[in-house]
Amino acid sequence: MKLDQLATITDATVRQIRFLIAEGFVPSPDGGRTYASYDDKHVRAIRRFQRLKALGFPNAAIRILLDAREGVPIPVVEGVTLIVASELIGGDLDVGPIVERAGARLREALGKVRPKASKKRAAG
Amino acid sequence: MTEPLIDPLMPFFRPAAAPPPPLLLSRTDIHLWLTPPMARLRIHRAFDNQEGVPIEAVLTMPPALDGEVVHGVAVTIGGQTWTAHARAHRRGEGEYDGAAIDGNRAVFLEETKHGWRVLSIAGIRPGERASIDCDSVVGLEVGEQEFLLRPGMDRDRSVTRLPDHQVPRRTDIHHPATLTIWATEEFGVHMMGQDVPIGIPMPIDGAPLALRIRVPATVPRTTSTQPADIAAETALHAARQISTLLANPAVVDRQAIRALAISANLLTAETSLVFVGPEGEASGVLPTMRKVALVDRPRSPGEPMVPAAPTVIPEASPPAPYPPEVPPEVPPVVPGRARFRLPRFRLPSSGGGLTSPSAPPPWNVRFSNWLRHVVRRRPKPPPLPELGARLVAAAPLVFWRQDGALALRSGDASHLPEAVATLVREIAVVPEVSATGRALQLAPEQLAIGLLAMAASKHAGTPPGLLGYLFPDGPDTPPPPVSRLARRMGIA
Repeated sequence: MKLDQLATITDATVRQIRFLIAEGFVPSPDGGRTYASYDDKHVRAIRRFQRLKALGFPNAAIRILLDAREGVPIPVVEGVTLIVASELIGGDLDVGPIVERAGARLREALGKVRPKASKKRAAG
Repeated sequence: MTEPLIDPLMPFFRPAAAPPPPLLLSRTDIHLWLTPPMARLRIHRAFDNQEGVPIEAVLTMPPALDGEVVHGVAVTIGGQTWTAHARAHRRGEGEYDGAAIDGNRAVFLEETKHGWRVLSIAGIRPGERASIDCDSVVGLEVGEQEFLLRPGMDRDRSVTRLPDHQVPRRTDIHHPATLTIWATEEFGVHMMGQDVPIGIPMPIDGAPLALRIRVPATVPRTTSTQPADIAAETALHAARQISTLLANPAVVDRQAIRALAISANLLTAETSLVFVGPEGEASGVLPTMRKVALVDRPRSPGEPMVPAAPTVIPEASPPAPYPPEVPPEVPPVVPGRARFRLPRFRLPSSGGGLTSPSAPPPWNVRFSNWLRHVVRRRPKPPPLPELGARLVAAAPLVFWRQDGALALRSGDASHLPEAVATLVREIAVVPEVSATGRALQLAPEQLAIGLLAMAASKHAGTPPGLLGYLFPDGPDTPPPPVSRLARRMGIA
């Protein structure tokens, strides 16, 4: 796709995309600068930047997090922080199953402990 | 030894790749003409493209004077000058973007928040020098007036929440800059309590300058026939008409305002100054965007324009001398013949006498240990294909997106389920695995987790690219020693 199509898909301006390419947040176009074309990896990279920006990370922090292997820390509540691999961000995953599993894990770790029902001895 | 839990803040303590350095201005010359009823300002800035690719230079700057009306911008590249003209903002932005993508020369000056301006120049080829002349005008009435002139950044007039491509870049590296004021002798111009010479370039730095200008009533109103003065007067008149229209509480006629701004070539919130080169000159090469930095720190007296090499700070106190070397104790020489003595073997003390903790164990204990290790043969590890089959069977037990990724990154099998971690540790001590790990400078346990990830790829539903955590240079093609080992284990 061309740059203007990429801008339409990602809801970013053409100049914003040129800035992201110049700063290294988005890979350079395929086909060289003369016959520049863009594909899904550029869409993912732009969406990843937009999501991280929406989470409140400044550009310098995004630059660090994209290079890091530890993942992106996303605070949920005080004492609970999600760590998400940076390559998953902006990938438009189906988060439903992930939320269910995360909820189950959190219930296991943080939920109330229910006392087991004690066996009643048979009378007589 | 297991590693501690992964600290999510750890990346922030590592040095990160620096952003591309900004372009630095090589020269700034400011000319201020005092011609009542207006003061005309022209700021000339120059910089060079020292990169090996065509660039698009973006300069974000504060208003040079409060209340100024910008009515012209011209860019000179390679001896040829292009002048931008007012267009409706959206239309001008689209034209500029299209030209920049095609590799054309293009100029775009737009107004953003709080009166800040963003000048974009596309198509500056390698080695070319670009010069910018920006014209503006303010009203100048009889009496004493104060102007704050901003050659560079002004910390008291910062702007936030700009789009990333418009965020200003700052530098503390100074370049030659001058201010020249053109007026007749009746004018009194003061700066910091001192008279400013008229018609003589005065060296300045990047800090804002507070000018106090006294316009005597006897100075006649000039009616210049110079095109620059006429354009400035027209722009000032149109700006005042627009202010009158905007002050009207009735419905604001946007069309009339836009027509006035375009006719007087004004930079406003709705009109931008645009130049697009002819189609035939397009190179087709997408330029690389580079920010131009403005000076953000006043230069201290005597400071050179180009920063000098950092001075070597002498140590506050001389280093502490080494402790004096103590000569080793030499046993005293006993006069007489030297006799050869056999070493004495000490039998284990049966009385439970105290011995020093650093003393070696008795010879019979050491001998029995040595004999036990030599005689007893180590158990043979299971054959590699059997281990590979166990890895394939254990791989689905791992939640790869979370636990597996953590284990791969940290090399710690504790992130895996207990049964799988035991298997990984068992495989890590196999001589072939540990030798391959040593050859690749990987911990054997981490390599064993990598083999587990390769085994997981035999199952559907495993996330792709897992080996990228271990071999970021080639996640699809692991190094040949690992591939050979995986083939021998039957998991390749």
